Amino acid sequence: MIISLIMFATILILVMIGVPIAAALGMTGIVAILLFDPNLLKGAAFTVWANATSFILVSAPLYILMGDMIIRSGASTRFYSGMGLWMRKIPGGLLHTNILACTILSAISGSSVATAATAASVAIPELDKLGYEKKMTYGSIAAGGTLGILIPPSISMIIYCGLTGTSVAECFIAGVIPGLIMSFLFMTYIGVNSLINPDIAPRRGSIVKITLKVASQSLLDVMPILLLAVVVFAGLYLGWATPTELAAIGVFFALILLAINHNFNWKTIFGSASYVARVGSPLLFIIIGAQIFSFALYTWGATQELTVAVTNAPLPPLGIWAILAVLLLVLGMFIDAISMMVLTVPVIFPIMTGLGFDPVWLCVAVTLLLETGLITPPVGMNLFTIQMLAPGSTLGQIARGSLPFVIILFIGVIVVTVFPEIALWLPAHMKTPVGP
Amino acid sequence: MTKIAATIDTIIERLSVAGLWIGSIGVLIMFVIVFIEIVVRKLFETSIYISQDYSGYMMAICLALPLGILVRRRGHIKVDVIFSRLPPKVKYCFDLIFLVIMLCYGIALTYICYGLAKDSYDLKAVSIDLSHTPLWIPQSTLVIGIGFFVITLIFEIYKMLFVRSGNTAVPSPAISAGAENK
Repeated sequence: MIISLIMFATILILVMIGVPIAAALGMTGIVAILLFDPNLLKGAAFTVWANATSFILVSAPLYILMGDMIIRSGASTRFYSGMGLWMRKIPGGLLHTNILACTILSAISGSSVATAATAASVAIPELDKLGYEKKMTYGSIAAGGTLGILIPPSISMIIYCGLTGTSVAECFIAGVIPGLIMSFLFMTYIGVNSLINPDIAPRRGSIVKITLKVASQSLLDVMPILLLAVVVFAGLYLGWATPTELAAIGVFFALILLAINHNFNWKTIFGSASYVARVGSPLLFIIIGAQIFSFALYTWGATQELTVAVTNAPLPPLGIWAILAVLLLVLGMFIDAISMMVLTVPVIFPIMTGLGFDPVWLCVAVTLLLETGLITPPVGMNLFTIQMLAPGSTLGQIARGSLPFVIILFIGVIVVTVFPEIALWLPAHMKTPVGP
Repeated sequence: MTKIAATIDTIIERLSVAGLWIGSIGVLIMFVIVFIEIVVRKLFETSIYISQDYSGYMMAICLALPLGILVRRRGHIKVDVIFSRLPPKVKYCFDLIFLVIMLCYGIALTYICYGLAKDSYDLKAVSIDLSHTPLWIPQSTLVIGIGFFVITLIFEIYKMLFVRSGNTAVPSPAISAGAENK
């Protein structure tokens, strides 16, 4: 038990002072293995190889490729503008577009930052022009962006599954209903808030007059992304293909969008691939570090010790989950989502599953908690993204705008905990899930 | 920086960029392999039988070969909430320590990957798919990529120790949060 605590403390100190996370995890793991039995390094070598070539993880770079190609095609920004036309008249107006567009954009992007950045680049100038309250504009985009890792495809969920061996397809499908509920709750808050305080979303009418031509153009703008979202969901739910194969289909679809938008050239395609290599390489490097660390925990028997210690604690399983949830919430304020996933899941997973919690449910619950971390200072990636894209904004202003959404997300965690069926009902009704 | 060091710097930079390019091509090949598998399966109800293994090998290439450029551009993911608030001199010392920790990790990782590839070569291990690819070949990409990562780190440490002290004007690479993937 002391060894486990030393290992955790070492990781935490190294990570907090700024050591690259892959090295902090991997080095701690390797030292621990060397101290236990140097011969076990061969086991670590197999762990490295198995993860570097894992077919489950192949889907992560492919989904990043799909999302980047779609952004380069311009289809995502046109999608946002197209959606805006239909949302202007309801209370909250274009603020709803931020949420709804992010909800659907989440289905073509596995990343929260990419989702928030796409929405922010179009929404902020337009909402500023219409006189929407800045705080609310920023908050709604930051919150909408968080749905990127809950609604499939989700890079965070792929990593969770890579670390735990849980089915990616089931986790993806499990995220759909909670994602839609969160989206609905965000929109309800915006609607109610706009009714109480109409100044946050002034109804100055639309700048663009809605004619048949404008309406049909906006539908054409919305259709490609909506279609891809439906294909991804239906493909997973009906078991047409594995998540990795669906990612490849998504990339093919993105190539068609590039061609339609006259952007199908080697420079763009290679640019996207290069982006994936730059982003994917450190990501996979972290996963390998995390797996070496998990292997070290396993060799020292720390995983089992922890699980036994926690399960024997004089607390009900829900009490233990509550403590872990608060811990994740606090850590999420300082550590970004992916890093937190690789740091905590190897420890939390055996404890929670040992207590009888469903691994698929746990994936959704942890993802919801990671989402709150994305919009809470001091380290909130979505807050940083919006600050970058909104000249003159301050981090405090964006964080204050996001605060009500943080509370809503936490309510979401409580709801999913009390009613786990919200996450588990849909996977239970999937047609034979295919593949890993 | 001496002339030799400057030459080494240029070579490492070019190899780093080449690593990124090969990794990028690996990503595209990964897509092509998986996509062909889907087409062949759906249209001809058969399989190319190598898609799972070979897409995995491509991912290993995508993982390992761009590691050098990540070191040069400081693209590794880290939590800099404390680091970013440190005074420049302390930050410099910490950055040096981080590079040394990464170097130790890189050496250990190269050693274990080399051991794996060597065992596969000695035991004539092949992949379980129809291609029966000798496993030491794809495993060598990890050794090459991580080995180059180590070389890049050694040179970065050298630059931090001897170049920053005023011997040359070669700038230190920009710090990047590596935040794009969250």
